[in-house]
Amino acid sequence: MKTFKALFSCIALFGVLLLTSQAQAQSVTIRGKVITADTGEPLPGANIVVLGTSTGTATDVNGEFRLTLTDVSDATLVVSFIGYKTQQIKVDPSMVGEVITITMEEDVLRLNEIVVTGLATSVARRNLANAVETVKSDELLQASTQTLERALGGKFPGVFVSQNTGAPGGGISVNLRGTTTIEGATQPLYVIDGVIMNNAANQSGIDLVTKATGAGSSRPQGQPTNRIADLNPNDIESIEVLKGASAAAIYGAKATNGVIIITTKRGGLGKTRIEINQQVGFNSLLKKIGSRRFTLETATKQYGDLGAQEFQKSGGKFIDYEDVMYGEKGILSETSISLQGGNNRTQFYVSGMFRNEDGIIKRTGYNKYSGRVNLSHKFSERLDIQANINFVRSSSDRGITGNDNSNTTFGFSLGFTPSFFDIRPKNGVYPDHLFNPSNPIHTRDVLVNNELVNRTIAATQINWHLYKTHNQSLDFIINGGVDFYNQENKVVSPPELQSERNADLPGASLLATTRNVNWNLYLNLAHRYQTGNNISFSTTAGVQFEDLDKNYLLTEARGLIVTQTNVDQAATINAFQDRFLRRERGFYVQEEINLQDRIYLAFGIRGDASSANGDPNKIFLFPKASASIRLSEYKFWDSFRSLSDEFKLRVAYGETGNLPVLDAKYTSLTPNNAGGKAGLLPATRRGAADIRPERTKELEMGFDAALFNERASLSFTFFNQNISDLFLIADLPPSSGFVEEVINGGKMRTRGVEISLGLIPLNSPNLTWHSRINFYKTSSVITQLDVDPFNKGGFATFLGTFRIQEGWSPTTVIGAEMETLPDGTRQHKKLGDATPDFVMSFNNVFEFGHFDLRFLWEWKNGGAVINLGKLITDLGGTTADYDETIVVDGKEMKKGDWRLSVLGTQTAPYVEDGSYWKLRELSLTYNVPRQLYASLFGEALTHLTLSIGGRNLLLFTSYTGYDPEVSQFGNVAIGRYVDTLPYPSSRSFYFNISLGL
Amino acid sequence: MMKMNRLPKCLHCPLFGLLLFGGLLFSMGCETLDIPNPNAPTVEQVTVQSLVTGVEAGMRLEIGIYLRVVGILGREVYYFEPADPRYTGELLFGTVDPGGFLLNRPWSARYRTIATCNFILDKANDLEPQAAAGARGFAKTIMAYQLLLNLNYLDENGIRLNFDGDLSKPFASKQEAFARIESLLDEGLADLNNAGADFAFTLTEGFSKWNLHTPAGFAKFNRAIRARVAVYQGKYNEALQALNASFLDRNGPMEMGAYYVFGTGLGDQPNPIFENPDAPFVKLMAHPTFETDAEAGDQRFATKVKKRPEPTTFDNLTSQLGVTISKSSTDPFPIIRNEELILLAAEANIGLGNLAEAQNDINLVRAAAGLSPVTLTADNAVTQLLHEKRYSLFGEGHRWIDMRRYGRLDELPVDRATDKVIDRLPIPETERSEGK
Repeated sequence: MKTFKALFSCIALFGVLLLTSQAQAQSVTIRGKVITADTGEPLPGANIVVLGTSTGTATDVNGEFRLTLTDVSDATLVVSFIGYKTQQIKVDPSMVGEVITITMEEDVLRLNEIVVTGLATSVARRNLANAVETVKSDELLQASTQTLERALGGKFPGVFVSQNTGAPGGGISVNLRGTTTIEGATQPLYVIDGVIMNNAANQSGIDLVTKATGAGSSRPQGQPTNRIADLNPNDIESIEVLKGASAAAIYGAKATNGVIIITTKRGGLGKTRIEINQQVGFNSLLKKIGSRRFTLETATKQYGDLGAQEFQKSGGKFIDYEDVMYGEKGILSETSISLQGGNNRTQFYVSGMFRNEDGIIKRTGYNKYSGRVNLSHKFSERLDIQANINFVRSSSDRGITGNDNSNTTFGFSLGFTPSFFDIRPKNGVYPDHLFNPSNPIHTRDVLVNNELVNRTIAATQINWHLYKTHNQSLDFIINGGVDFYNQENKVVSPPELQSERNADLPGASLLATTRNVNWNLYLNLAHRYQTGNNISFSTTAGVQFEDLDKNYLLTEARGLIVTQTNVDQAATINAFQDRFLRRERGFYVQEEINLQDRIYLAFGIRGDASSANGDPNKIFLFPKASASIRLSEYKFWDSFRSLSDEFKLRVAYGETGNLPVLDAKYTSLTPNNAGGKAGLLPATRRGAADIRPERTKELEMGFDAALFNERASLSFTFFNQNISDLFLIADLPPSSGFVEEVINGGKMRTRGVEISLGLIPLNSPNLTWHSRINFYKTSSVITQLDVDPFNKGGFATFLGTFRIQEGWSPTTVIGAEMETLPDGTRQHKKLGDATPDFVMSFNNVFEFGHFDLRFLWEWKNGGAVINLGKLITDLGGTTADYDETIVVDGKEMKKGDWRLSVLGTQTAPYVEDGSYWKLRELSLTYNVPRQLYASLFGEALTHLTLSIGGRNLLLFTSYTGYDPEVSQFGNVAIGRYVDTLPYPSSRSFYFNISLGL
Repeated sequence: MMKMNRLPKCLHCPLFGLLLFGGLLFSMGCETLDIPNPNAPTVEQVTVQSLVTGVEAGMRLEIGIYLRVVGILGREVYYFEPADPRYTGELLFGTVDPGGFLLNRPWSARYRTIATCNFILDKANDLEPQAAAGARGFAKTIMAYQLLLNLNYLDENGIRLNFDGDLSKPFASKQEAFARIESLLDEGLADLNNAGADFAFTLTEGFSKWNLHTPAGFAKFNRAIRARVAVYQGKYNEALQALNASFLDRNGPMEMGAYYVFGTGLGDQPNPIFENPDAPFVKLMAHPTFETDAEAGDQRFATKVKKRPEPTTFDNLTSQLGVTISKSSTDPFPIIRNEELILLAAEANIGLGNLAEAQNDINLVRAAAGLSPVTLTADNAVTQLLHEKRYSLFGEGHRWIDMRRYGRLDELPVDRATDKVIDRLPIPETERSEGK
C-alpha cells in the first residue's frame, strides 16, 4: 500500500512546470467566415489556430470568427472541423480589415479526423501511429439496429461482431484482433463519455428449467444478453475502436481485448434543432433448416407402431413447424426525438426514444425506453463542465431456446416433433406430445422468460485550464461517472405444462436480480508546449480509481401453486447468491511529441493494482511506445506525389493485461454439515496466492496512404501479439487437499493483417460513389503450455470440442477421431478451426440527386461450426436430409442413419464450414427537396428524409443450421460456434421518416 | 447580455488546482484493495468449531465408495451399478485404473479432510493452551485415521506423507506411513491428556453417543485406532496396551463406539450404504458365500443381510442377499466399535500365544451372536478369528485387509474364470511424479 501511495504523491507533484512570461507585441485582428464547399452554408464551431502556437478561437453561429494576432508576419491559420479537410491559410497583411472566406471541403477519407490517443489527449488521424478505427453516427446507423453492437459489424477491419443467439435483446460477441485468452475475459472494455460501462452477461436462471447446467455452474448456458445493448444508438456521436494492446495500453490491466470508446452527442451553437425520427418495420425468419418428410414406412421405422398410428391418423400431412414456431412477422417500431442547441456558454442535447420490436416467435420481443440529457457549460475561459445522464429501461422476452436436457426448448422439442404429428391446440386444448416430453407450442404460449433492466449512466467531465500562455498550457481534467443498473430476470414455467406435470414438484418460478454499480474517476493533468518551429509536446499524467460491485441473487421456487408466479407461492425455495467486488487503482504518464506534423512520437506507461490479483497492492506496469512518419511531407516524395499525396509509416508497441477471474486468488471453504452442525471444508480449488494478469505484448506496424489525389486511401496493418501468463486450470495432487488451481501457465501468439481500402470511384455532381473494402485475418497458436493438453469448450469429446495443445491453434475443433502420426504417437485428429480464414466487408454509398443508397456486405471465409442442432434433429429423426442416401463402404445408407451409426467414433459429420456472405445493411434514402415541402410547412422544417432498408437481409452459406453465427456458451474465448438450436436469426425490414425542425 | 459568472479567484490559481488534485488523490488512494472473498469464507475468518464439524463431515466424504471397493475386493459384497461397469469389472479382475474414481475420489477426500485438520492445527496456535491441546489432539487423531484408510487402499505401494502438493518429494513406504500414523496418534494422545475436561468445540452424536466427545473420551477413541494400527503391524503387546486405554468394554454393548453420522438436511450427506431393501433392484448385495459359510443360528448373518425373493444376476454375477447393515438414510455408520476392539484383543492374544484369553473374547462375541463357544487351538485360532471378524464386521471394510495381512487372499472366492483377487490399489495418476 505504501508504495502505491508514494507513487500517487509523486504524480501529484508532477505539474510544477516552467512558467514563462508572455511576450508583448503589436497586435492586429483578423476576421473571417468559414463555409462548406458543397452547400456554401456557414460552419459554426470550426477551430482556428495559429500554427505553432496555442492561440486560437472557434467560429460562431454564423461561421464567423475574429482572431487577434500579435504578429502578422509569418503567421499561418489552421482551420479545422470534424469531417472536413483541414485548411492552412497564410496570413498576409492585406487581410487585415477584410473578412476572409475560408471554404472547407468534406474529408471523405477522414485523414483529418481527431483521434483520442490517451485519457486526455488526441491527435489528428494523419499523425496517428496506430490503426485506430472510428465511426460517426451516420455511418454507424446506416440501417436500423436493435442494439448498438450489431451496428458495428462489418464496419472495420479486425473487428468481428458475431451473435450468440437471435433472441430479442441480443447476446453478441465483439472480438477485436482474434483470440487472446483461454480462460479469461473476452470482450472489449467499453468507455462511454469517460465512464466504464458494465458489459456483464448475467444469467437468467433458465438453465434450471432446461437443465442444461446447474445453477452456479462455471459454464452456464442461459445465452444471456450483454449489457452494452442498453445504449440508445441514436445518441452516439462517434465510436473509436482501439483494437490491440499497442493502442489500448493506456487502459492497462483490463485492455487486452481492446477498448471501445463511445462519445455521445453534444449540444451545438445557434437555433435549437429538433430531430424527429419514426421507424416501422418487421422481422422475419432469415433461414429455415427444413424438416423430414415422412412416409408410412419411414414413420414406422423411426417411431414404431406409435409413429404408424399417428401418421395414418393425420393422413401423413406435412406441418411446417418452422412456420408455426418461427413464422411470426414481428413488428418493429421506433420513435426517437432529439433537441440540440445552446449558446456560447451553455449547450444541451436532449433525447428520448422508444423502440418496440416483436420477435419471430410469438410472445417474444424487445422494447427499450431511453432518455438522455447532455449538458455543457462554460463558467469562464478557464473552466467548463460537461454532465451527461442517461436513463434506460429495456425489457426482452426471450422464449426458451438453445441447449436442453429436459426437451423443453423450442428447437429441441421441434427436433423431436415429426411433421405429421399435430401439436397445435384444438379448442384451446394443447394436445400432449407423444414423441417428446413437452409440447413446444404450449410452452411458447405460457412460459415466461423476461429480462427487465433499469439503468442509469451518469458522466461528468470538468476541464480546468489552469495555465495558458501563447505557447503552453496546463489543464486539469476530472472525468468520471457512475453506471448503475438493476436487472430482473423472471422465468415462469407453469405447472400445467406437459414437461412440468410429470415433475416431482410441478411448476417453476425463477427470479434473478442483479444489482450492479460501477464507478470510475480519472484525474488528469495535461501540459502542452509548442516551440517556435512547430514542435509540440503533450505531457499527460493521471490516476484512475475504479470500483465494481455486483450482487446477483437467484431464487428458484418449485411446486408452484397453479396460476401463481411469485416465488413464495410454491412448495420449495432454493436461493443462490453471487457477489462480485473489484477495486482498482491505476496511474499513467504519457508523452507525445509532434515534430512539425511530420514525425509523431508517443510513449507512456500505465500502472495498475487490482483487488483481483493475488497481491492486490502490487502495481503491474504496461508500457507503450509508437512512432509515425509522414513521408509525403518530405521533398523526396515529390516524385511519388502524383500517385500518393499522403503517405505515413507507423509502428507501435504496447502491453495490456487481462485480470484474473475473481475467485482465482481465494482459498475458500464450502459448507459441509454434519449432525445438524454447520461445518466447512476447503473447496476443491486452491487459491492462487500469486495470480497476476495475463499480459499481451503487441507490436503493430503499417502504413496509411492517400492515393490519386485523395480518390483512394489504403491502410495496411500487421500485428503480432505475444500473450504470456495465460490463465490455465492446473490439476493439483489430491494429497495437497485440493484438486485444481488457476495458474499463469502458458503462452500464445496471435498474428494478423488488416487492410482497409477506401475508394471514391465516382465523384460527379450528380453521382458519387464511396466504397470501403476491409480485409482481415488472424491466426493464433499456443506456443507454451505448462499443463497437459486438454479439451475445452464443447459438451464431450465425441460431440466435438476444442483442443488446447502446444503448437495448435486454440480454436482447433476435435472429436472422437484419432490419428497416428508417422512417429507412432496417437493424437486427436483436427476437424477444423473455428477461427475464420479471413473476413472481408464491402461498404458502399451511392449518392445521386436526392437519393442515397448504402449497403454493407460481410464475407466470412472458413471457420468451423459444431452443428449439434443437426445431431438433435437426427436423434429426433426429423433432419431434412435424413432420408437422402449416402454410400459408405459400398453400402447405401440414409444420411441420418449413417450419422447416428458413427456417433461416438466420428464427429466430423457434425462439424461444418461456417463460411457466409451476409447483406448486413441496406438502405435507400430520399432527401425530400425543400421546395416539395416548403409549401406545406414553410420554413418550419429544415429537412425531411424518407428511407427504406433492412438488416441481415440476405444470407448465403453452405451451413445447414439456422446461422453460422452462433454460440451456445456465450462470449467465451474457447467454445464459441457450438450450435444447439438457438433462437433463429431474423432479417428486418423497415421504413423510416425523419424530419428536422 | 448575460454577464459572465464571477468565479472565486482561487479557481484562477494553478496551485489551487494542483492542491485539489493532490487532495483527491490522497483521499482516494487510501482505500484498501485487499478485499476478502465476498462469496465464501476463508480459513482466516472461520472458527475451529466449523472446521471440526467440517472434519466430521469430510471423514464421510466418498466413504460409500471406499466401503464398496474394499468390500468387493474382499469378496464380501457385489455392487451392481448399471451406470458404471467398473464395480463388477476392474475391481474383480484388475487392472484398477490409476486415474479412475474408485481410487481417486476416496483418496482425495481423505487428504481433503487432512488439509482441514492442518487448518485446525494452524488455528490452534491462537487458542488458550488447553483449548489448543484439545484441537491438536482431535486433528492429529483424525489425520492418522485418514492416512490409515488410504494406506489400507494402497498397502505396499505406500502413501503420500507430504501435504504440500510437491510431487518431487518421495512417496512414503508402508513402514514410513505406519510410523507417521503411530506418531500422530501418540502425539494426539499427549495433547488430549493436556486438554482439560472439555473440548472448546462440540462433536456430533457420532462421538457423543458413547461419551467419546470429551478429551478423555476422545483419547479412548485415539487408543482404539492405535490398537488397530498396532495389530496391523503385528505389534501385539502395544496393541493390548492401547486397548487397555481404549473404550473396550467386555460388558458393554457390541455397537458402542465412534460413528459417522448422516442426515438429509441442507449441506448434509445421507448414508451411502443404505438402500431400500424392498426395492425391485438394489445395487449392494452380499457375496453368496456369506450365506453358505454362515453357521446356523448366527444372528449376525440374519441382521446384516436380507434374502430377497429372487436372485439378481448382473454381469454374470448372482446374489440373492440384500445388505441391511444400515437401516435408513440417516443411520450412523461405525468408524470403530467395541466388537472390533474385543476381536482385536483376541487377535493380539493369539499373536502372543495367549489362546485362553483369546478364546474368552471370541466366545464373548459368539455368545452375543447367539452361537455356542468354540475351542481355540494353535491351528484353528487365526481361521476362527478371521471367521468371527468376517461376520461381526461385515461390510465395515475389514475382510480384504485382514485376509491380506495373513497372506490368505488366495482363499477368497473368485466367481468368473478371468477374475482374480487384487492385493492393493495403484498409486493414483495425479500423485505420480513421472512426466511432471
